[in-house]
Amino acid sequence: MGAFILRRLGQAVLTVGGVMLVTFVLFRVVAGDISANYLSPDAPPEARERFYRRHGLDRPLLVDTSKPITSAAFWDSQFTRHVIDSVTFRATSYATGQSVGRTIIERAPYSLALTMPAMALGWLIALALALLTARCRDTWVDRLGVVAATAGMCIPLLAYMIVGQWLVFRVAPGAAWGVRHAGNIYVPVAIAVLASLGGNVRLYRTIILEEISRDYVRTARAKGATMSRALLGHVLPNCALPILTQLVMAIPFLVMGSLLLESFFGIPGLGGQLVASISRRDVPIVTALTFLTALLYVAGLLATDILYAVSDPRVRLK
Amino acid sequence: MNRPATTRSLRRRAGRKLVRSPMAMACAGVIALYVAAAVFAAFALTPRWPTSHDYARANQPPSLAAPLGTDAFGRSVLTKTLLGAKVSLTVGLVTNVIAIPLGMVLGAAAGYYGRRLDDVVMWLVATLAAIPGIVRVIALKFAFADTVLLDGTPLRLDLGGMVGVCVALSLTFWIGTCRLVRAEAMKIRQSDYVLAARAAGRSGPGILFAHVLPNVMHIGVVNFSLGFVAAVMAEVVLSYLGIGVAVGAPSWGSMINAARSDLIVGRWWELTAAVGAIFVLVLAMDLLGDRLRNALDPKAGKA
Amino acid sequence: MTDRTPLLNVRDLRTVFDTDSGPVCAVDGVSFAVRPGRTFALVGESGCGKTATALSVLGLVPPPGRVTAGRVELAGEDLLALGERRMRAVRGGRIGMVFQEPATALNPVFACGRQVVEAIRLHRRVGARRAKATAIDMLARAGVDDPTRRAKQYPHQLSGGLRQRVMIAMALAAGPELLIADEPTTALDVTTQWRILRLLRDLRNSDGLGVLLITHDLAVVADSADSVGVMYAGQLVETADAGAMFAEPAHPYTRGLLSCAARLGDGRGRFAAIAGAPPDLSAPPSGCRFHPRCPAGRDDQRCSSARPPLRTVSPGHWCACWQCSGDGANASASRRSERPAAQPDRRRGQEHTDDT
Repeated sequence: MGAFILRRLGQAVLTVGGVMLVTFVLFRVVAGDISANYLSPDAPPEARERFYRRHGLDRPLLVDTSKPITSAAFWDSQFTRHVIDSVTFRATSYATGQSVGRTIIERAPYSLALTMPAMALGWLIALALALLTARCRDTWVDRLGVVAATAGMCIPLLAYMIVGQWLVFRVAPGAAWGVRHAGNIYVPVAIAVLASLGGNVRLYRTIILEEISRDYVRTARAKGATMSRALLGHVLPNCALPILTQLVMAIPFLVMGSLLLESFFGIPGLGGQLVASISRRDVPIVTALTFLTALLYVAGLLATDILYAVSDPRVRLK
Repeated sequence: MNRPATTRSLRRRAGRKLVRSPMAMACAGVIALYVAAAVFAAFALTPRWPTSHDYARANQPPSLAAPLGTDAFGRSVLTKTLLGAKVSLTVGLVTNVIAIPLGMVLGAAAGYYGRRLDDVVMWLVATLAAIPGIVRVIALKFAFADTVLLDGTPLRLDLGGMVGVCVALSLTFWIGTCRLVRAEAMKIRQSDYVLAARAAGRSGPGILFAHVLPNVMHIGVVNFSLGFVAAVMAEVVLSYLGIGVAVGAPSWGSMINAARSDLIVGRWWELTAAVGAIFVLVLAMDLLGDRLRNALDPKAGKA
Repeated sequence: MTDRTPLLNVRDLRTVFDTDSGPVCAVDGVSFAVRPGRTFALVGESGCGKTATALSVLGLVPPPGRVTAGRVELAGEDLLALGERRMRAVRGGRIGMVFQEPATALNPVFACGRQVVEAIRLHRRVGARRAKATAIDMLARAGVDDPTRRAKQYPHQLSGGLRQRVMIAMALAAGPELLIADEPTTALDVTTQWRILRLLRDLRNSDGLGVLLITHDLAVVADSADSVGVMYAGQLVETADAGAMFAEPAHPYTRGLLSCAARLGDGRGRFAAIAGAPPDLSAPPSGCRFHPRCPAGRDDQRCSSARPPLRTVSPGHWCACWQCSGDGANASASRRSERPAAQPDRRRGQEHTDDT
């Protein structure tokens, strides 16, 4: 078990390193003139140079070739700076000068306030509906469920958002215009849940139906169990693993929030921040946030592996 | 001797099953209609796309003159919808034409050769997967926004516009196909007929193209329909955010953006047109993809 | 209930599957009887409808299949007419079933003991502790060594033979009157096979169980069966006491099967085989379904046009073949004491099917 974890940790480090590399390439190497976003077009070249110097953009990308090749040469490069700043969350925004750590702490709770209830509710409701359609297989309940889920999947989130807002406006006008009042968070949460239902119900239904056709379900019924009991008592424990895995893998992206919902409802979360930062080429923020997501993602991968090892007796009792 | 998954008879049987299914044929018909609309829009409507505004006729509800009403600048919503079809279909097609083969080849190579190549490909996959989808696309688009490839030649590729969107989307969509194909390729590697080919002296790339790739075709086909849907939806979001294809040309996403405050004041036609167009196309493609998957499943069809 | 009264009486059972390529009649007018304390073996190649028959008895035929005709009488009560609720009481409570592949038939995430306990508590109102004790008892009776420890283990930790014993314990835990064993030994190695068969025989003798044994292995039949029914392409083509069947097989298919079975010391140069392959049930051959492969009936006009009814060959021995030896007479009322109780309806059923 220990060797396994070690190996996965190694892979995790490589992955995060890869993310650092990709963001570096995308935002520093390819991006062109970053200062154009922060200085007026008529600014004199000295202003530009000052900007570069202040933010360390004048240093060599990878290696300082003018100095002898020692570790110091690597230390002073942009890439190293990039990595260190992200890892320690010390980077400061080009735009606001605020440290990334600060930004995250301030904004993350807003994103989480939206995504956490949305995920929990969405997951529970979707699971319940999927179980219902599987239990009532080949009846009108099942067919209606599948049709509704398929249709729901084909409507873009944007439509849910706009129509949702319109509906709320008819019912409780105060809640429709944004989340200035904290309690109104239920509007975007409800919209997020509804939008995710279609796809999740279809997915869970597929997983459940695949398990239903297994032999042990037939055995359970031959013992005299009802279909419901076979579903809840036998199929669900076996489905738990794939469903939980999907859930755990979605957790890392909770922190980012939903950038569409956040911008539409004026929620000051991390998602909107990320998009704004990308458009402004606010490199430190972008890289720090992607680093954070990558970190959580590999943590999620590790968590699912451990989950599998712990809960599947076939793996646990090797 | 294990039989290959996608034998010619399987494909023929799949084709027959599809043709027999009324649902599949209806969906194919709908998609064909969209294609016709897109082609029509590309040739007949684009040159006549108004660049001036006609405020006298702005925000009119649907009528005989403008079957779907007019937008804030007096332009026909119907025309915008048709032009949007051109954009969406192009993005859906081009993105997947790039992404699917890329994913298949990399996945097959990774699964078949294993070890180092597999490690590298999987590292690439994990790295890209660690970055949230939309962020990936937006980042790529912004990174390439000012880049113009092959400038001055007839093949000028402005990565800021349509091409950029397609490239950005395909660079994020190849991952799903890659994973699935890799898993299948790993199974195929163990199969008897591959063993026989190697015993006969066939080379690695030869086996890859002759045995592995044909047997993962069904994954590619199914993922094409899924990817098409995803590409269309993603393009809508990008256009909504203002970073889709060229700003001037209309697309469904930009229509939604323009109409996003309209519903509350009672102007429903532009929003409905865009959402309706998206819904029908995505639904048709989704259902067709579903039928495709059933038809190509070698296990189905037995009693 | 006397020894002669059948425990399970299946009459003209017909089960059809609605597939993409049309309706497939997997069980076509099958009739047989299982007596208490006796084993009836249903023999045939893969795909001949044996498992479908067993599942039809329990009402567990998976869609797109359904039972379309016939009667299945358990101690006189027609199971096919029972609603789902009462059928559930029968499943496990009065009929226990053992499946072919114990590795997949047991739930991989639950301990074995727990699965046996579930079988008990579904039919008996007992407390958890009592049920657990009974379960361990049952496992011991099924020949599981160290049952208390084994009960806590998971299926994948047990060998194939042990898993099958767990399945048997599970099937018998609620004290049923009939046991259906669907290829109980096919997935096991030869030594374990004989042990399991012995176990089944001992349990049958001690509890007075009736056993419906489904198999394709003639050796298993020879070892365990009291009476045999041979199925081909969804139809019952011959039925008799085991001894009579092996001594004087009447149906050409049965004769082919027996000659295929290799015997030690036989000295024959090659294995005999029945030419051809089993028919596609969505488009079965006309008349007698076996006639394209039958050395006697291949060119016979009657064999290719009309389906032969089951006729007596000798007392208690029935064969559906135009070429069968025997008095060729259809069952008559005077033979009441010897023939399986299903007889009169079987004849009626056959007349219906002759038209197909």
